[in-house]
Amino acid sequence: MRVQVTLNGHLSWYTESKEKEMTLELPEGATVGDLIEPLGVPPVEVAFATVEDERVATDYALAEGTRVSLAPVIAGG
Amino acid sequence: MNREEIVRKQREHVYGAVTTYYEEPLVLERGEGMRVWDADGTEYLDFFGGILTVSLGHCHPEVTGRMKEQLDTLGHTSTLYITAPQAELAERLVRRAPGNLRRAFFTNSGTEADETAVLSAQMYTGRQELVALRHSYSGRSMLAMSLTAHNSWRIGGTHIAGIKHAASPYCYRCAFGLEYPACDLRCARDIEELIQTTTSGGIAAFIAEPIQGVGGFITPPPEYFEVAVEIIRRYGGVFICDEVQTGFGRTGDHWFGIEHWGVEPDMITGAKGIANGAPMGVTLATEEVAAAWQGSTISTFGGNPISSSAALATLDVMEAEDIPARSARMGARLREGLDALAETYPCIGDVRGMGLMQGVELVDAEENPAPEKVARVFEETRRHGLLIGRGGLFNNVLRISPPMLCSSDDVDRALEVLRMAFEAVEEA
Repeated sequence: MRVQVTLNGHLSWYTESKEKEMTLELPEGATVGDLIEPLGVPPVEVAFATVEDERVATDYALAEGTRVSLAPVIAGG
Repeated sequence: MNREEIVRKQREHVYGAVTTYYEEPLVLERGEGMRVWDADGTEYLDFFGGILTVSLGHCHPEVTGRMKEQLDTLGHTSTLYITAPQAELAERLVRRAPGNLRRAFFTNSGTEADETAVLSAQMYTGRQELVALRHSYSGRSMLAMSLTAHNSWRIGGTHIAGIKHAASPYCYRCAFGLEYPACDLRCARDIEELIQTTTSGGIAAFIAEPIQGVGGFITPPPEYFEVAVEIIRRYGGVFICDEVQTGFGRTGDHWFGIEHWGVEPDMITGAKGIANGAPMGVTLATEEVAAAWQGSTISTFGGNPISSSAALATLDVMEAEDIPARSARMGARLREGLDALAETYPCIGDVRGMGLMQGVELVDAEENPAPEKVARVFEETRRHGLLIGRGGLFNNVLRISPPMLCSSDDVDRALEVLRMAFEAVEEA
């Protein structure tokens, strides 16, 4: 299945393409947690994920066409 | 309410974008001096002070006492009426400030202080374009985010045009690949070409922090500001010194960070540590810059009697305790310990800062940023009862900035916990 991923803040730097938005091909039954590591993003750098603007846990089951957004941990202020 | 209930309410009702430190968020309930306690009663030694804001320690009796007294006397007026605390605070601050800063405008935060300063500079010079620094942080309004040079904090695109970002004096990761002092301050000298090539040739202001706070306590070479500000003034700009994190006394020996560099700013912005945690921002300006403000202005909460009383009490304690000298003394002890840790643990790429504002940049074997090591240090230090901050463009810098009344024992304990955390990182 194909899911659309948005990497906010500095998270895109960890990926090879450095792009903030991308489409990923994942096996059926994959969860939000399953897409983080293949991107090259350290899981500890992800503060939370949202799907269709709703916050979800890492065990959230993805489906064809799901739009996932990952927010980085905070480092400023 | 127990911890779980508090966390649930936060997660359900506060903007989800309000992220917190640690894998399991810390719910703080009480503070006293150098220590805070969470909702489960666990004690922590606080070496971040609510982002360099709790200057004198939590619930300092002199500060809270004066705030309570003011609360019972007069709580709010707006700037449409004059109050003694605001007027006295303005006098105290301009007397302390370096150079010819003679006027103060009070707001609620560093963001607003920077907004006020930029608008003042634009009205004074009749120009609009600005020079800021890469790796800088100015706040969370649209202008402040446009001044800020961290993509994580420039949310929603570039809102304000006309801001050019010069290379940061970030020696550890020099944008030009040079080494100080052989570099001859290339980062500062490049500002001239930046102005010549990316602006209309004249600017309103240069805004910069003496030590870049959110940037990961990036500390410039001593001559940086002298060279940079000379160029800025030649092109008609004024120098806005953002002391939101460095003021007051934090960098040791001086009240303001810029006093280390021998340059007199045309404006200073301050917030965070001024009032030991009571919300306050201030813009200090020369007589000429302040007089250039066109029309009237007000602030509903700016300079409110309670925050102003807190700031006056904070200043009183700072003077009585000679905080600049104390920051220098405790900062030297902290720095010595951090330098020793850097000798032992290869994950420490750089230690930098001044006084009680020390940054530790963590790296991998090739000196690439290692934010995952910072995450590990964070969890370890929390486990051992120590709170610290993090920052840096790459999210890989520990920010260590305790309340400035910390003792030698506090510093030694923090260093011991950090040692255990680095040990855990190296073993992983």
